[in-house]
Amino acid sequence: MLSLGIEGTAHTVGVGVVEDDDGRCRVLAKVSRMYHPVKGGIHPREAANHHAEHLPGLIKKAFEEADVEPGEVEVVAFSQGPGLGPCLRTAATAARALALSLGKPLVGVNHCVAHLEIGRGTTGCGDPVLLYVSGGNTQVIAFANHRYRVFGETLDIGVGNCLDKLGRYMGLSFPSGPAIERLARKGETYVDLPYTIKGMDVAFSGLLTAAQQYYDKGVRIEDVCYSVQETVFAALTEVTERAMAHVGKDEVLLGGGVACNRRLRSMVKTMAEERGASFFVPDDSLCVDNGVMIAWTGLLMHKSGVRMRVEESFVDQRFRTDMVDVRWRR
Amino acid sequence: MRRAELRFLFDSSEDARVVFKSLTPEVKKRIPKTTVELDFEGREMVLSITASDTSSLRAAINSYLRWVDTAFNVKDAL
Repeated sequence: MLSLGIEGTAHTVGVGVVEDDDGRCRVLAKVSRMYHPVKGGIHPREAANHHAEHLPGLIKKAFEEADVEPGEVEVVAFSQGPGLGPCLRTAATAARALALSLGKPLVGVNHCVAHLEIGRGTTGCGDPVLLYVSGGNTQVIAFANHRYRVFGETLDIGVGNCLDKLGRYMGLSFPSGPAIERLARKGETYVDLPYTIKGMDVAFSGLLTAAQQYYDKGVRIEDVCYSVQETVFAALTEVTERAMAHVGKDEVLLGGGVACNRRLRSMVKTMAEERGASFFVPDDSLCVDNGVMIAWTGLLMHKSGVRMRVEESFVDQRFRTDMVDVRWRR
Repeated sequence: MRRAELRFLFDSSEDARVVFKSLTPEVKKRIPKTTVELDFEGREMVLSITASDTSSLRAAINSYLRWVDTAFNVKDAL
């Protein structure tokens, strides 16, 4: 079975084509473009215009890369939410047009659930706790009672948003995560930062302000980056470990753009090893937002009987992870 | 109140149908301070937008033009 997925929740617009290879995800095409703001953060309208401009070409390119005829695709999936309204609506409109033109079924996919499913589909893990870390989302997710439940999450900003805001403040370009990671490797001195965990949740805005103040006071940028990484990743690793203990799972999976960070990976991997658990992370290109994860999750949903009428394929900016009826894992 | 009416004449009624149906959920889900109606017959699609002020009207026109463009270009790319 072949599925095409369109991702367009925020800065990245992507198209993926996948095939069901006996329960594993076989990637046939993975193409994307990223919106880079001239200055500041993401402007939703400008990002939507960017996606509208590139989507037709990306869809064409995806079919060429997959070496399949458009009619061979059996389901068209799109990122239904959560995300930025104008971007979601643009990606959804493109997916509807594609599904209607091909006469194929349409399915809306929860972006957060897709980050988890692409990990399950490509890394070999079965029933993991997912630490999902990106610009807009920071959640610890696990499957329980037919739903992906959120066991911990950020109370304010996503960890990627924290890094981007700090990076922008210090004159780094967007996205700032990779630059912060490079600078952090040269850090030598740890400066104290707020370590905020409330129950199973984390918070980063206080830490962001404190880090900005250190930078203003002349603390080396390398030391600021190093200290921020050590603190936020330690907090995330702690809540992930507590979720694993709570739900009794022995697999941990990383997802989201911040999962590309090698320091975070090493902390979570060490935690997993110390508790006798297995550590999984997808390829970098599948950690960041991509159409493949939407295609794959759409395929799972369609196979499990999920159907959606085009007229009712509304996007949902606040589409919560635990709103999804996970029929494919009963 | 401000009102705009945009008429699109496609090469075929199939093009008009695909664009019309692709936009239907976006018409049902309203943009603040605007009322949008969409209709099509044969090769022609008519988009009517009413807004409480000029800037809202302009924003809505830009949004819906973007989606018409997206839907048509995706179909055209196949």
